[in-house]
Order: sequence, then structure tokens, then C-alpha cells
Amino acid sequence: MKKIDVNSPVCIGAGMCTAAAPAVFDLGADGLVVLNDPSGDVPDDAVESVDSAIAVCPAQAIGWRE
Amino acid sequence: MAGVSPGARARRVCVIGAGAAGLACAERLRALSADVSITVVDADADQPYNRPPLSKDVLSGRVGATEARLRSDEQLAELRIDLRAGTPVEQVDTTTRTVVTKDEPVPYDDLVLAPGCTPVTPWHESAPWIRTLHSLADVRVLRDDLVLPSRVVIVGGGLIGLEAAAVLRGLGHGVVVVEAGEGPLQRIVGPQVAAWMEGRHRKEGVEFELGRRVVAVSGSAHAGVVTLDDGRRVDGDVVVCAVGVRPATQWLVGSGVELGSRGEILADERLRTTAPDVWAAGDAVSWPSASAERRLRVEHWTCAREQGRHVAEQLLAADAAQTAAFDTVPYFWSSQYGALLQGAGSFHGDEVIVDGPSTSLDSLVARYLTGGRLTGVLTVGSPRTFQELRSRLPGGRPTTAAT
Ligand SMILES: Cc1cc2nc3c(=O)[nH]c(=O)nc-3n(C[C@H](O)[C@H](O)[C@H](O)COP(=O)(O)OP(=O)(O)OC[C@H]3O[C@@H](n4cnc5c(N)ncnc54)[C@H](O)[C@@H]3O)c2cc1C
Ligand code: SF4
Repeated sequence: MKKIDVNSPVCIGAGMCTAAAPAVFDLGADGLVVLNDPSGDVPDDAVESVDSAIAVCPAQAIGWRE
Repeated sequence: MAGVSPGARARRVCVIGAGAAGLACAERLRALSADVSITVVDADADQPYNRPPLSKDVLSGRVGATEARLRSDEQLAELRIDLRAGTPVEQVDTTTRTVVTKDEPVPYDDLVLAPGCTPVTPWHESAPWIRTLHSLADVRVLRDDLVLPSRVVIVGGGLIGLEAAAVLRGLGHGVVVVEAGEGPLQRIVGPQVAAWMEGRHRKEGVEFELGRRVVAVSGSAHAGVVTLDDGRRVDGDVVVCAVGVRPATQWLVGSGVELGSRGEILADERLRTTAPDVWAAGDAVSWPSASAERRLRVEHWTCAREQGRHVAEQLLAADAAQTAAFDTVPYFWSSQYGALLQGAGSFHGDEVIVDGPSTSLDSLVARYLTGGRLTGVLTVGSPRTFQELRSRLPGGRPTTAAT
């Protein structure tokens, strides 16, 4: 399964990721990104939407785990 | 040549512009096809970088130029693109399918136009030394100017002018913003939010000349004189022109790619231009937006990224079942004095409801209504509220073809 990495310190809380892939991303109480599944696993049917979230994240705070 | 038969040479895609849109397009092309040959040509000599940090952390010096890079050398190498930085395109011949540069011409099967915009500098003739804030090279010049405490006149109270004002105040420089509208950002966000913005900046010591047009800029690079329409003059050690941008499309005149009255590339709903197999993405493009029910041209980063991806997907779409119209709810963010400002939708509603304690200048929620319906939202420092309101805007979440 593909995995996503989050670099929270650079996240600005723009919420583009939550709009593009609501199944995977949410905003925490501090307004910064959190993963719905903390393990970072991304189900196959969410891969496309996560890919587009990565492309539109203004802070480049999210990316595929190599 | 939408379909080169298998076994023939690789399909050649040329992307003009290695900015937000062009690079998003190249990355998506590579993700979808291992075979297509991708050439990206950019006039800028710097390796592809991100513009948003320029007027924020790069200007402040909090991060260096490398941190503004859009992709590292390794990431670029992985993409297997032929990247030609420092290569301005002079012309495109859409009949012979060639991109003409000062170096060798680039033949293409499909062409993507992503040239973005260039700053408008009305006083360039009388004051060729006037500074702009658009490229990495611009920021280098500005940072060199500002080694000693200075007084800076910023002409234009838009997003970039205000971001620069915030950063320069933070660095201890004196800042005067000259703005033709009654308030900073007023043309974009309306008077209520503009008043709030003005208060926020004044609190930090930014001075404003509002409702004033600049009639002349004279003097020299380190002793500039800005003359206002009421005859008064504002002096500055540095004068920054931030009055807006226009599509960087001069070189497309006569190419068969139709341009609008402001030089914008006129694309259709799939982001195709009027020339065969020529597509367009980013700040320079207008397209018929179904949700807005009119043509839109958006000068914001996420839209450019979405369009770049959309073009890649459409360009490779093998059959009609994969064709899709582009649409999005325009979104922008800005950062001033450490607070996140975000806006989505349209701010031209007939009613604006602003909540947020006017005493504390750290948060604000403005809802723009049209006929009682929520059509735009702008917040400062309230990401969760923003997210909630944005999902209620017409057009909902951004569309991309593949989802
Ligand atoms: C200082 C600054 C701060 C910003 N901050 C924000 C922000 O906080 N939030 C936000 O949403 N948006 C922001 N923006 C806007 C955002 O950067 C743009 O919307 C985005 O860069 C547009 O992407 P683009 O690919 O269309 O154009 P660009 O990123 O401008 O890329 C276009 C590229 O095309 C090249 N080019 C042009 N003509 C030619 C030619 N003839 N031959 C070869 N190459 C050519 C240019 O050199 C350029 O590199 C900011 C912009 C600036 C300048
Ligand atoms: S899009 Fe990026 S910056 Fe915005 S909330 Fe998601 S991770 Fe953070």
C-alpha cells in the first residue's frame, strides 16, 4: 500500500488537502493537517485524490513516502 | 498529432514555462506516461522555484533561495524532463509545430503554454530602476537594496504589496503604501475587509496614502520620488512597483493562438487554445467556468497547479470518455504578520457579513453573499472555519479529471 508523509511544521493549514482528499486528510484543532489514518496508509482508491492533494498543497507539506 | 502510433518515436510534449502550472503539468505527464518526451523551456535562468515564498520568507531572509525551489535537482532528474532554463521563447509556429528560441528550435507534437504573467510597470520609462517583486532575481536585488534601514515606498496595496509591507516592517524598515483604491485590497475583497486590513497594517506602523494615484516616479534607484495626484511627493530610498500583472503573452501575437483584450490566452472548457494541439494553463489563461457562469482568469497558485495537471490528463486522454471540463473554486492564501489569510469563491457579493472581534486584529471571518447565497469566504487565522465555509460554496471542492 502507498504511504503518505506529513511534514506538519511547514503546514500552513490551507486545507487544500482536505478538500482534495477528505478521506485521508483532516485539519486538527490547531488548524493544521492530520491524517485520518495515522499509519499513513493510503487505500488504492484514494491514491489519485492524494496525488492531486500533494500537487496543490501550498506548503509542500505532504508527499509520498519513498 | 493526438495519437502517435505505438512503435513510432515518442510523443513530444513541449511546455513553455517552468512555473507552478508548467511544472505541475510536466509532473503529471510523467506520472501518467513513462514514454512521452517532455521539454520544458523557461526564460528565467534560475532553476524552477515557487513564487509565493518570494514576498514572504525569502524576502524576510527566513529561508534562502534553495528553499523556494519547486523541485530539487534529484526530483527533476527523476522526472526525466529536458529542462531549458534561461531560454526565452521568441515565437511559436503552430503550423510547423516548432517553438522558436535563441538556441535551437524545439519541435513538438503537443504544446502547453504556461507563461504566467509579468509585472505591470507604468513608470518604467522615467524610472527604469523601479523595483518589482515577481522573480527570484527581483528579491535578490531588493535584499541588496535593504541592507541598511530604509524607507520604502510600495506602489500598490494588493496582496504582494501588503505582504512586502508586512515583511519590510518586520525587518525594521519604514513603509508607505500608495494605493489608488479607498483601502488596501479593496478591489478584491471589498471595503469592510479592506478597512480591517488597513487597521492591521497601521497597527504595525505601515503608513498609507489611500485613494491616491501616482502621477510620476522620478529620482534615482536609492533616492526615489513618487508624485501623487494631489501634487504631494513621497520620498523613498527604494520604490517598489506592485500595481499588478498582465499575461506574459506578447510573443504569441500572430501565432494562431487567440488572445483576449488583456493579452490573456483564450482557452475552451478543457483548456485547449484555438491552435491545434496547443493547450494552456496558469495565470495567463482564461477559460469558461461552469460554476462561475463566465470566463475566469485566476492569478493564484493552486489554480495554476490544478490547471497544469488537468492539461496533462486531457492531453493524454485516449478517448472521449476521458475528456473533462476544467473548473475550480478560485482559492488564494496569503501570510501577513504570521497570520494566514485565505479566500475562496467570489468576493463581489451584494452582502458581506464580517464577524470576528474588531478589538483583536488576529482573526476575521467574512462571508460574501449573493442573493442570500454564500458565494465567497475570506478568513484570517481561522483555518477550520474557512474549510467548513469553503465546502459550502457553489462548485464545492476542486474538480480534477481523474477523480
Ligand atoms: C511574489 C509573489 C507572491 C505570490 N504569493 C501567492 C500566494 O501567497 N498565494 C497564491 O495563491 N498565489 C500567490 N502568487 C501567485 C502565484 O505565484 C501564481 O498564481 C503562480 O505562480 C502562477 O503560475 P504560472 O505557472 O501560471 O506562472 P509562473 O509561476 O509565473 O510561471 C510562468 C513561467 O513562464 C516563464 N515564461 C514566461 N514567458 C516566457 C517565454 N516567452 N519563454 C520562456 N518562458 C517564459 C516565466 O519565466 C515563468 O517562470 C504570488 C506571486 C508572486 C509573484
Ligand atoms: S494543503 Fe498542505 S498546507 Fe494545507 S493543510 Fe494540507 S498539508 Fe497543510
